[in-house]
Amino acid sequence: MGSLKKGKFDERLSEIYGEYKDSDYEEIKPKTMIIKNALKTLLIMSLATIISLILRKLGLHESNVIIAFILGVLFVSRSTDGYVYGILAAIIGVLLFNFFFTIPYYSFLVYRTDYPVTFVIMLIAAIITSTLTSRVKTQAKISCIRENRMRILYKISKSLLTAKNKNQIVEVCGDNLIDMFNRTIMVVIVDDKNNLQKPNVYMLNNQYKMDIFESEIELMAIERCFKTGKVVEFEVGNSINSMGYYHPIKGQNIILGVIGIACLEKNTLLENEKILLQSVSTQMALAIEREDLYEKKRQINLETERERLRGNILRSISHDLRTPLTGILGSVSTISDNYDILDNDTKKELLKIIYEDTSWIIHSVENILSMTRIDEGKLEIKKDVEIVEEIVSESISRVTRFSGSHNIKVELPEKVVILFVDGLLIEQVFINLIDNAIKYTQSDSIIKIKVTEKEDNVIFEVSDNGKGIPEEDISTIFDRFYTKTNGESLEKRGIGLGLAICKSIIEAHGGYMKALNNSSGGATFIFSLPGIRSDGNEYKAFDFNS
Amino acid sequence: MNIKPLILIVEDDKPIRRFMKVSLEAQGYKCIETELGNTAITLIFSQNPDIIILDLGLPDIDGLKVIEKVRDSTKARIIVVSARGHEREKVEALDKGADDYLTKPFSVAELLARIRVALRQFDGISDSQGSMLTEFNVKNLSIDFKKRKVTISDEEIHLTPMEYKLIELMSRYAGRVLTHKYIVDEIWGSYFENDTQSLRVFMANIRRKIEKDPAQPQYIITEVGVGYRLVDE
Repeated sequence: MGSLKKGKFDERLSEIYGEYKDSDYEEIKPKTMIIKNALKTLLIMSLATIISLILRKLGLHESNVIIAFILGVLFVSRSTDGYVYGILAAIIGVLLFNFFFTIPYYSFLVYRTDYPVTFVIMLIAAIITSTLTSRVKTQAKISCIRENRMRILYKISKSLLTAKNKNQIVEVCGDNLIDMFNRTIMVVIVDDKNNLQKPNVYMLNNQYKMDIFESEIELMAIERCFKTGKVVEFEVGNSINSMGYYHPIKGQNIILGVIGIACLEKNTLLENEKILLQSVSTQMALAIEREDLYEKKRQINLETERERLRGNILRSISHDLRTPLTGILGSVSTISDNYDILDNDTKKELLKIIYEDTSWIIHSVENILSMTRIDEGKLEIKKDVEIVEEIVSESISRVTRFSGSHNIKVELPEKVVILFVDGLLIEQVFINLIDNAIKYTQSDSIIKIKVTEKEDNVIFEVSDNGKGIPEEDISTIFDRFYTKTNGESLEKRGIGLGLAICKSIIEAHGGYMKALNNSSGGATFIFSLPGIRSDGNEYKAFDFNS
Repeated sequence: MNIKPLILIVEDDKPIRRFMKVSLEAQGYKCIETELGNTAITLIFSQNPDIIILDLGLPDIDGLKVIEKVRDSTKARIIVVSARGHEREKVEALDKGADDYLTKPFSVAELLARIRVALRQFDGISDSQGSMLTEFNVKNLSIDFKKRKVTISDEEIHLTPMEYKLIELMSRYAGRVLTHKYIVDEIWGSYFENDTQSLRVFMANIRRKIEKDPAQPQYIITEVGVGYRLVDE
């Protein structure tokens, strides 16, 4: 089994190498490099010789010739790779000097005895020059790479700061890691339940097939890296021979994810690349944990807000229910304790109070029931085709069941008006508005309901001829828990939720609602709903807390 | 009729059961009561009540199950009791064979009105089976089935053939709630099953012709989310 897997793995490895070879991403072969460098060396040294010959023709001292050759060596080591060519150039330089510029000319013989010393010193000077130059060159190259990496690191940390969610974090890191390593990158992070999500693969120039990171071995390696929190890489004799280098993203307490880097052709990462990867993973971990904390904080805020709302509702509800219940309890105990003493009229009166109070409680419960839907934070509306007058008539019949001698007048357009709304909710709006009108006006007042069509909208008006809304209250009347506190109707009680619920319902249907005082001095509530044409959505959830 | 009608109350809440029983007995009806659906089924087969008041939320079995089990074997009128907002449940109960429904909370007056309607229909079935009514009268509205004429306070109302068909259907079942589905099936066949819009428009038009104030109707009552009811008293 093991060997089979190994064989398969090798097969796959060579397959990928084949792909690798076919691609354009191949480094310049060393052979051509050698030829190129050798040619450069020869060219520069020939130039140095020609210059020296000119110098001699001009009759300058031969020390200038030596300097010209050392200059040539300097140029060679600057323009070639490695210091082999520099040293070679130094030797060639000495030989050329010997050949062309020492007497006898054009032979390797020397007559003067001090020339060997000159050669040795020249050679040493040339070699040192060449090695120093090439070292400076490598240093420059390394620092250039380092600078580039630092820039990317800086870029990552900068873009991580602005990342708004985990997906963006992954995106930012993946994109930058490609720039940094020039390899195919895989990033995977955990979800809310601490399970690894689907890996995000970022390909270098789209050159490899997507599934480098999807083979069984790689998945096993990722899993292992995630479980142990340790780096997993290609190692001889390891049970999992993955083609990738996997680095865990370590959070404060848990592993937050895994970064994978494709290492093909046993092209493993350098030590400093690993260190770099580690610093990226640390940055990523910080960003992810920050995102988690932010999310947690948001949840807590939401919870607190909901808790506060619930508290307010409970307080308001219990007050609203306690008052009529006290009335009922008192009336009932009065009747049962003094059954024989009380005359029939008194008993009837007390019973009437019980009836009214109970009706009031029922009405409150309807509103509370709407509130329980809000409790979830969301209210779902189920739209259906409704006829305006059906909603109006149903609301009126519900309200008048409990109301006294108010006159309710309805004005409807000639045409049948059809709406696409949640009938029960719109009914609740009407019930609350009519009920408010009844609650805050004298018993013989006239309540007028008017429906008009205006372009694509249907406008509803509920007005009374009572005392109206105090000017300073108009702006706050739709706020939660507003109740009219001053004025004569103080003894009437109400859950201050009614109007807030109405407004939310209307807005959820895409309409608006407003309150004003009309010409008769009473209050008018106006709301609009879109006509049947303008809405095709059957279900729509909306946030009640917004 | 000398024999007092027998009413079976199936309701799990004791105070409601109690007040229904007291108010019904005060009107001269005989009552038996239970809180369990299974007991109700046994009682229906053994006592053969004339009217069953059935709460849909029972502790042992679903009220709808009770309707299913007894509908074929009893002529009793079934009045379903359910809360507001549970319109689907009501429609289902009505489609399964319930005759009427009451929405909680309801007043005694409403309860008694429904009982009267149910009893009238019960008598109607047992007495005048087959003999079709020739006339329908309620308040100022009268319908002459032979002449296909509808009048309000002796003034003739002009209805289109479809509108007449609708009001005729409703008058035959006056006092009872007819679900949208039932009406559409009866008038148009089942093609329009999911489209109640045309029915609603027809109803709105009929209302405009026979009601003085369509927003506070006297004759055709809308049962929101369920259907329509033509008043019969």
